[in-house]
Amino acid sequence: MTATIPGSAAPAVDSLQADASEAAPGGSRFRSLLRRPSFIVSVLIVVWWVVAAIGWHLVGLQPYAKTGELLASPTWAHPFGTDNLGRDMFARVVAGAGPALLIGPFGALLATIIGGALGLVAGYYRGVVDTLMMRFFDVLLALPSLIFLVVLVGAFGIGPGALILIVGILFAPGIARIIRAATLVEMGKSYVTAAKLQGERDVRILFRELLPNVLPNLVIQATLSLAAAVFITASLSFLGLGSQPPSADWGLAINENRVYLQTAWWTVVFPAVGVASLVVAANLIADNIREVSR
Amino acid sequence: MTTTSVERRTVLLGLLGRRIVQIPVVLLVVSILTFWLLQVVPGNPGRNALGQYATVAQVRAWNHTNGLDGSLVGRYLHWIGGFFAGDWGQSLVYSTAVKELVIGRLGNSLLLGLYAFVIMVPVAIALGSAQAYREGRRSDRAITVGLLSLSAVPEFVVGVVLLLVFAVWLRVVPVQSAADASGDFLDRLRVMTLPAVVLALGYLAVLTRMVRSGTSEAITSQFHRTAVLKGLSPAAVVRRHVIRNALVPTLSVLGIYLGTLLGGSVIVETLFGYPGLGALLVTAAERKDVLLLEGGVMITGAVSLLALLLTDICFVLMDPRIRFDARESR
Amino acid sequence: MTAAAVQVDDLHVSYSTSRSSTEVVCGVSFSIAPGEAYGLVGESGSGKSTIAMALTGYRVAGATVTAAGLTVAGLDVLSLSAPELRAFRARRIGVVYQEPARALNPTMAVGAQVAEVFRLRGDDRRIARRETIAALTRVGLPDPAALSSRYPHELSGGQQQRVVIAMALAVSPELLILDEPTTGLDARVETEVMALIDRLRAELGFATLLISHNLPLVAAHCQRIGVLERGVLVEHGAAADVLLNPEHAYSKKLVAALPDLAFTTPRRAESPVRGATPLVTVTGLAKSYGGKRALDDVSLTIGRNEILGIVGESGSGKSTFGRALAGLLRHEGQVEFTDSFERRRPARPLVQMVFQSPDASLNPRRTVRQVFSRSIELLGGTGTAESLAESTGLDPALLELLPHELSGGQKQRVAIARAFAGPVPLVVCDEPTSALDVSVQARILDLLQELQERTGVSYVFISHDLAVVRRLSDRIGVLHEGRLVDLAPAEDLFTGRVDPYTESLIASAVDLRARAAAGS
Repeated sequence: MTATIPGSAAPAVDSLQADASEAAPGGSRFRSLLRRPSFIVSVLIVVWWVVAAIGWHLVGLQPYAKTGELLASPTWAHPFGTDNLGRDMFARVVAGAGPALLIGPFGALLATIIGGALGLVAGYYRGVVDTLMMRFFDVLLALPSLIFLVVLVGAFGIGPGALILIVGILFAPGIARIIRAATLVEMGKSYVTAAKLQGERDVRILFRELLPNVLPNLVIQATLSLAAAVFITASLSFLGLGSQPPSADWGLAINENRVYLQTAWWTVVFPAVGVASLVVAANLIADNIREVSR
Repeated sequence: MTTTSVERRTVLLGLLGRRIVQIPVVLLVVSILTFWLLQVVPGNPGRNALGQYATVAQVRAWNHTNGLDGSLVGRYLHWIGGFFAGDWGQSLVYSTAVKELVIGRLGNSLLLGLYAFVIMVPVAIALGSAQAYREGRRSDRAITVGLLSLSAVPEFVVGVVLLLVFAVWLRVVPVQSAADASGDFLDRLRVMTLPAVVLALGYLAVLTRMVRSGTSEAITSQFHRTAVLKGLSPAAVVRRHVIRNALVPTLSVLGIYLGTLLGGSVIVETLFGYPGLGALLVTAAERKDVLLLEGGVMITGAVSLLALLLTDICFVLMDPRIRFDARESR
Repeated sequence: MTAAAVQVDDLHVSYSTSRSSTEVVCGVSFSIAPGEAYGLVGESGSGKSTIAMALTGYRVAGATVTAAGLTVAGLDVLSLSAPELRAFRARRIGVVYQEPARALNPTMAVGAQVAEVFRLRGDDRRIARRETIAALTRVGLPDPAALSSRYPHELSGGQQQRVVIAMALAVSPELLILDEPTTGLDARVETEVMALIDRLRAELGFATLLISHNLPLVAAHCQRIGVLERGVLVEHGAAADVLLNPEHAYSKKLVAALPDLAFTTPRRAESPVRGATPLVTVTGLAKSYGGKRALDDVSLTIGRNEILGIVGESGSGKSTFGRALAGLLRHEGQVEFTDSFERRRPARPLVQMVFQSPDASLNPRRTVRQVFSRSIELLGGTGTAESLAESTGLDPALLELLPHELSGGQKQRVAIARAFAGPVPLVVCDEPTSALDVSVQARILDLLQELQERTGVSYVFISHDLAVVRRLSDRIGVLHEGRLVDLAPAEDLFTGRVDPYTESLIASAVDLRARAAAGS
């Protein structure tokens, strides 16, 4: 879990020994996470989709070929039925994990790195930069995110690289604000003052004293961003602004097939289950981490 | 008595004054940012509008008549001048005046957003406070997980499911919700119910969570104990000591949501075929319709900032402790 | 005995979660006669507040209350129905709480909160308002009519507590429960509030139950006291007896731990060279926050090997002084160290601090060993983590633990050890014992004294508690509203001519002890 946290790469700046003992409270937290059924189920769902995204073409699924009748209802041969072009819905739903997980993780990673770094620095140094930055973010966050989404889409377009950048820019201010608030709470504690008094360097205070203490917040934010990024990319695809046909993207599939809602519900419902399960699972993971790190 | 009410009036007026300065400044910054960002990636609006068979001269002439040539600064100044004079320019995609287009759609979005807001708030308050009173029990956790899951599901998925149930199987509402201006109000409301519910569901979880934590904080507070030990009846304790304190922290989220809802939602509008502002903006962004996008962004921004102003006023009225500068610097 | 205000027989209270159940009050019995002042003393976790809540019939979630008898004002609290319980709370008892700021509803004018009690009695709006103003007048609040429309955050801590008292006494209860009523208030405000309660008790004739961790306070204001240890009433008797001749081991410990003015042996004066050579010279030190003067033109010298005590109430600028000395904030004026220290190479920190809250002063993610090793490295110390632990009385086995696995006293030892990891000439102790239980306080003070004698550092010892400061300090400075109003050798301060403010400060401290010893 921790391996995917962008922030954990940061202490590498300081090349001291990795402290095994620092894992102790994390370890007990991790154990209490493993006792939570909704966490386990959610992790399994996410793992399943990751495996599907990477491995679907290894097992001979054919999401792009006509393999059956048009709009055939679910049978043993086609457990999720077929779509209007006779393509197997099961193969398409499994393959749809690919585009869904192309943007989300990288966008969330980018947002977490930018937002986490800005938040830590703003909270630690305070001063004019902090004030200006936070006022700017206040404005951004006060306005509906739709505005920024459309402006950014207008500016950068809808290629995968552009979407990663857009997700990163869109989520970074919110993360920065939360991490700044968490940093300020830590700054109010005298262990930071003590470190300063001992002549500790700023970089070390930021990464060795503060970062480990805001890390749970950062992990939660990263996970929430992942969910939101999947959500947003699927929504963009639904609007025709993301993946283009014949991609198996879930959002796109729902948009293409919703005219058949009355006659062939399976063409819409299974991709919908795909998006919903991934987003809800990521959210529940974040929620469980929040519950145990309180 | 007099001193405090005077003080509070001063706070309120100061807040209003500050916001009245702040709102135009923010809008100005946003408009510049939008204008500039849209030039980051090259793309020729004239070419987009006229297609690949138009000559270079035709494209240039078209760009000129639409005010799209010259320096970026010059074009921006031209546009902003026109904007304040009431001339928002022509939409490239729709070939009509931006102002009429945006204002017309805004009315629809406001109506839908308000409807969703009116559905959402009482439900969130009811659920959140119910949760707070049974904090830690299984039903509390169940509501949290349920709502979280519900609002994590993209709107087009929830919308599709609700359409399937209510429009296709039960047939109580139509599949398309295009606002019919000729229909009477109740009819329109019936048509808008499904989109409004879908819209509200997306924000319900966070709002409920805020109400829950606000209520929980109030009922575990020491002043709550004081009220109980005074011998007040449970109803009086809730009425006089819980409600106000529980709702104060929720207000800020309410303001942001109101602004967001009123500004329109792309997904819901597209799914239900509802002619709102959101879908218009997405089209404008996709087709690089700069003037339409600028006009839409300005209006959406203004609406959401006004919603924030409204919540700030509510803050001052509800919480005597509030000092708005302190809240802003958080 | 027939009409006791309170009669408690074999009271048990336990808290249970889904997994475990802990008994916090184990078979406590006591009684309070009408008009009597009874006190319960105990450290945190002794169950004293739980007993107070049991008397009001207030149920905390997960708590089970059983008793052979629990009678308050003639009513069996445990068998009252919900409406009877409300009537009982509205008419028979009043409660004053530890933190008045939190006991009052922040979004309701204080007058309305007091008026509620009268409305509950059945008064109409007009009468309730008149009675409210009368009640506020009775507790000595200035301009009650204007004050009644203020909100809690617009009042000082003392005023807030007076409002709470007015509320509790509004309908002439038979019992007034005081749950740590002055904790968090300054010494002078504490004296005023307790005097007010004593006066009102004499006038109105209610019984009081005073609950506190502060033994001298309880002894001074109660006729009889009981000492609680982990839910067991280990000793009770007349106030002066318990204070002067404690019988139970725990009471003895409590009394012995008191850093009491009257009982303290002042710091030995056998080394006259102490503080003779100056270490730090402070000239014209000043600091403003938003136009308000927090520190105003403070000049003094701190000698080598000297312990300088700084006393003052909250807001006196004593913490600001400490932080300015440590170079933690921008300030006007100079803080100059003796040349030999300024020129040390490599440059090492000159000042270390020991903070009030042991919880916040250690990084929750770093083990004791990590803290020590890094501190030794940064401060240029020569020892090891083990030797540092040993020198501060910490078991080396604790080195591998994280702060949350340590007790409050152990955490404070780690924080102290950290400051002594290398040769540092000056250590600023900012209220290092005020977040600790009394019995732990004494041992931490011993440690600080011992370390000072061994290493010869200078201390600036900041506290609100005159007794603690007197016990350690060579000289004492008194800060009042940012100004240094007195600076004198410790003994002179208590015997010589001093500033009127200092005099009032000493009076409120001495008063309490003297009255307690005299047996009220």
